[in-house]
Amino acid sequence: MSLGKVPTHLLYTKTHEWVRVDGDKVVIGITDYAQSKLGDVVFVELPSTGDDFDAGLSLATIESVKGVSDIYAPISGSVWEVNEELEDIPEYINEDPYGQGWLLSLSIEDQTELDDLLTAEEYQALLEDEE
Amino acid sequence: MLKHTPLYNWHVAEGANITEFAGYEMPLHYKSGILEEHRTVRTKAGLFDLCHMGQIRVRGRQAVEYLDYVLTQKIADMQPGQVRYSLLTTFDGGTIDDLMVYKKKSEFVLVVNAANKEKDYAWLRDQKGLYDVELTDLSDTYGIIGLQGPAAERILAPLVEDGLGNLRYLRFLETEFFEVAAVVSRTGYTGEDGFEIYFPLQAVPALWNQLLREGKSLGLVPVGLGARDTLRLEMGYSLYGHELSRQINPLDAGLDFAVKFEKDYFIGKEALEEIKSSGVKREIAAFVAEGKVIPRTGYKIICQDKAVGFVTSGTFSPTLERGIALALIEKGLENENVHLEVRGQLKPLTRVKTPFVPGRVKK
Repeated sequence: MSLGKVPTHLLYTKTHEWVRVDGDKVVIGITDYAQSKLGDVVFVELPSTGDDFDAGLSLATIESVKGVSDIYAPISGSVWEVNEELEDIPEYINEDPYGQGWLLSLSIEDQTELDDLLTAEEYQALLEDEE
Repeated sequence: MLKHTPLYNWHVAEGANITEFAGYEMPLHYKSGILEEHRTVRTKAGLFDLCHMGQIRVRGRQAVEYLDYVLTQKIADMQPGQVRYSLLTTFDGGTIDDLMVYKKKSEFVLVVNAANKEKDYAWLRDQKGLYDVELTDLSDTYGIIGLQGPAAERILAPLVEDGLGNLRYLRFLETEFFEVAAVVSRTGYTGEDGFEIYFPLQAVPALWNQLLREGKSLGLVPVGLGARDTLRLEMGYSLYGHELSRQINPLDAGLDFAVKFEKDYFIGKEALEEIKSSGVKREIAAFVAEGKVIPRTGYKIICQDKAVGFVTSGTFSPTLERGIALALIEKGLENENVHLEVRGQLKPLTRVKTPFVPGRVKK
């Protein structure tokens, strides 16, 4: 199976979320590898703006035909914006996981937490280990 | 060591997402995904690799008496060319498997679930006793291809010399492809019109490719186990290991139609009669979820703060675009106001009758 695209300008988690730093916020989604493992996404449950999460807590769930997956907060923060388009078009996650399939943005509370995330190279190595 | 059907390399070359099922590496879905494969079967046609399933031939002077002894279904009045759904039960009424019985001129073939084939064969051999019958495991000799969907007959008809149009549901005919003998039955587990084709295992890839070529213009695509499950669940059909098990007897599962108490005897008859007369305590019920909820196997069914059962099969119905479930619950709940426990939250369920989606088999 293909490991999918791993864009070099993003950061990653071991649980297959991607993170794009955008000023004092981070935008979060799931990786190409993760979406291909999940298969057809049919429902996405997102938190409300203003909800606070500690790093590592489940902040969203994605239901595919095959099963349900938790999405974990890569860093601590409060939800700034959610991708409301996913309500009607959850398939964006399959079709464009790094673009229109973004899930939400979080405000950054502690910059140092970003240091714990994986680089593209490290994430690619993790995928090769998993397969 | 995982096993492969003769189509395994074909699936891999097509980019299938491979999953382990019943000791086999099988296609879960191809590149287009479960939803599209499901919808193609409902609107056009799909081709299924079912070579992992088991086939057990029963023949001999007492084949009829023996099968009437081990199976819950009535066998004595079956005519050649007929197919019947039956259960295989233990002496205490637990379900060993559900299967299809094919009655040929002078022998029977039992088509059984892939995960149960060794277990079934061992059980059947153990029950043989003094019956004058011969059991043969044909699972590694013949393969099965499923062709399901409204376009199935138009795809297959040009390849079958005669009779396909007159072939009724739960009937089969013997024909040949490439001058090799084959059995074609009008059967399936999708709720659509369609066929299952029995063919020598080594020759399956040639027939598979031929069918895909013939069906291409009518929209035929290969379909994996993912859509096979969503299709059967939309029909409310039982799946062994989910709605049926050693612990879930055929009466719990609502399969009374396949349990023939009028027979003098069959293994499990006394136990099942006892269960029936003392009142069946549980039932398989069908539910539709509201909103963005997908029931999953094992989720609890809650009624008035009390767990009254659990989901045996749940999925997203591509046709209804809703979560659907079969669940084993206490029978005769007076309060129909039931909920599904999803990660600690209660979500409303609406009880419905199966099928969830109208079936279109050719009766």
